[in-house]
Amino acid sequence: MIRILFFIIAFSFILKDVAFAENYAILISAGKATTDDLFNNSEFWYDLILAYEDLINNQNYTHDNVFVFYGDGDDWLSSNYNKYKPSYYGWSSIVDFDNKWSTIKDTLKNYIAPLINNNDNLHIRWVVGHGDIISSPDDYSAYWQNRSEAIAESVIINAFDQISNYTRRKILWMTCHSGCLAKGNVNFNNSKTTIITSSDWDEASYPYCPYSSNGYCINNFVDLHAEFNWVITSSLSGIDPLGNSYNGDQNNDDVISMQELYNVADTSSVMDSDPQIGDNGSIANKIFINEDLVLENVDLSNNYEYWVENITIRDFTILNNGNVIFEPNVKIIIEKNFEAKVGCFLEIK
Amino acid sequence: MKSRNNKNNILPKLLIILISNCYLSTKAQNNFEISKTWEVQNHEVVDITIKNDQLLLLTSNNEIMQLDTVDNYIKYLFILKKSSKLTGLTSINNDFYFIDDKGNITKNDNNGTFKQFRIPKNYHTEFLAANDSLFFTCLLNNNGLSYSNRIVSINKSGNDTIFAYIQGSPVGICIKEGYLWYLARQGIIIMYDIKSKEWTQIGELPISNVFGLALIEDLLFTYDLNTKQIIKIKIK
Repeated sequence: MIRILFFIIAFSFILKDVAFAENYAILISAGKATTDDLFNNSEFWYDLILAYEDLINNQNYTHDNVFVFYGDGDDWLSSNYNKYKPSYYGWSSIVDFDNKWSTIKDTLKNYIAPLINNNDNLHIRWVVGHGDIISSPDDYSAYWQNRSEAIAESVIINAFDQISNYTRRKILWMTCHSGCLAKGNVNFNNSKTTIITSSDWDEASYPYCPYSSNGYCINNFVDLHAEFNWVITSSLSGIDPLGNSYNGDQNNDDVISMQELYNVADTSSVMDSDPQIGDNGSIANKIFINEDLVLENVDLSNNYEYWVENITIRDFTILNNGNVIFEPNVKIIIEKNFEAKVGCFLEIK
Repeated sequence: MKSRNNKNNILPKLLIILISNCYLSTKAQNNFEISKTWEVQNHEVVDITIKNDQLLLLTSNNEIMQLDTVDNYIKYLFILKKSSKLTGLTSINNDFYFIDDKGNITKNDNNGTFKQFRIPKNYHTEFLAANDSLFFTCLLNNNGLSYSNRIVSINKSGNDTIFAYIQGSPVGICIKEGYLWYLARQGIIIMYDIKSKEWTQIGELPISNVFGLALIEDLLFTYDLNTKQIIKIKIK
């Protein structure tokens, strides 16, 4: 059955009858850096500041809505590399809290949970840490590099689930055995959550060294990262830590869904581990870390869904075999040159 | 800590960066000083330890060598005839202890395995250190660097627990006065309090690409892979 172009949008935006939503992020680095270029040390800062930078500069998060837990509660300012210094980006600091479990748990309960309501969205990223299991996907524990703490997964999940009000929850988790958090009976899964983990429940996670020899990073190089973070942050920002362009956009719409993040990690030659996804609500293909999408210079010819806060459209065409669903929680702005070809399907929920 | 209202007050932080950079670079260069070297040709050193003030070397052929610091030469002591590959050597009081690639800890009294702990699939051990109650070894992923690479402690019953996750590529561990000293390939030394597990990076050796770590009083011994020499370093 041929569907026809069914309307020309005569107004420039649709504003839904909802309260203004906030997009919050929680970044946790379960360790601390004390020197450059040292595996299981430097990346606790390197990967954290790159993840933070991406959220602020590319994903439309505000400083005040990103909660950062790291080390003893202060930024690491001793890197010899400019790109790992907050001042390089014009910031005085990025860290809010130390990474003691008691601090994390209490802050989640007493400070962050009361801030977030049903209209808001939550992004959780356990940027770098350790994990271990005894024998099953339900006995994962998280470990800290800088503390002798081990916290069971049920305790971790309960602590984060104290934040129970959100529209969408998007989780990225980088530790060994992190697949436990998407599998088994104890996990983060629910209909409003997508979680991507760096490895399966029974395997380790690894660093990525662009310059290595015999499995070991070569001394004195700048770009030591967890391989999962290399792929994820590069996909989101469109540029890798070496400064090369990085394309995580698999469906050519110029934005990166959670499903695409997983697909890129799952197929990347950078990855030695096997990333996992938990997506009980089948929402991964339509939710994004960025809640304010701009679709610009895009021609869509297949199935696409966008369930975010705001959508802005410029020079946007749905081709005759395109099937597009926009589900903005607040508004869709059509700034210029929107075209829907005869035969396409467009739905705005 | 990040000020939630003012993110742009950079100047004080820049001053801190300058001061801390100066401090760190000075510290790294001044803590250690090479005081003597010995040639060790034709042997691949796997681990080193100190027993009764003598430096002992374990080679890849399961040989035990001794450094004679008086007459300045390396002498052969004995070979352990085992089917497994020895990967670590330590001493407690007057006894030698070895660990092999199957997780067996053996005492050199020909009474067979002293302790054994389970090595996870795809992992191997390197290096051995001990105090009166615990052994310590590095448990390393066969693929190289992994966030599961760890130092484990093994008690007298053979039960192991995670002591710390390994930073860098490990090249040696040893124990001195309640602290586990750890050496990474690029010469970085980290000291762990055995009771609290808190760690401090105490400095960086003036050489890198080294292997093995032994300590006695204010002297540190390691093996330079580039020059094939045992290096004695004075800790200031």
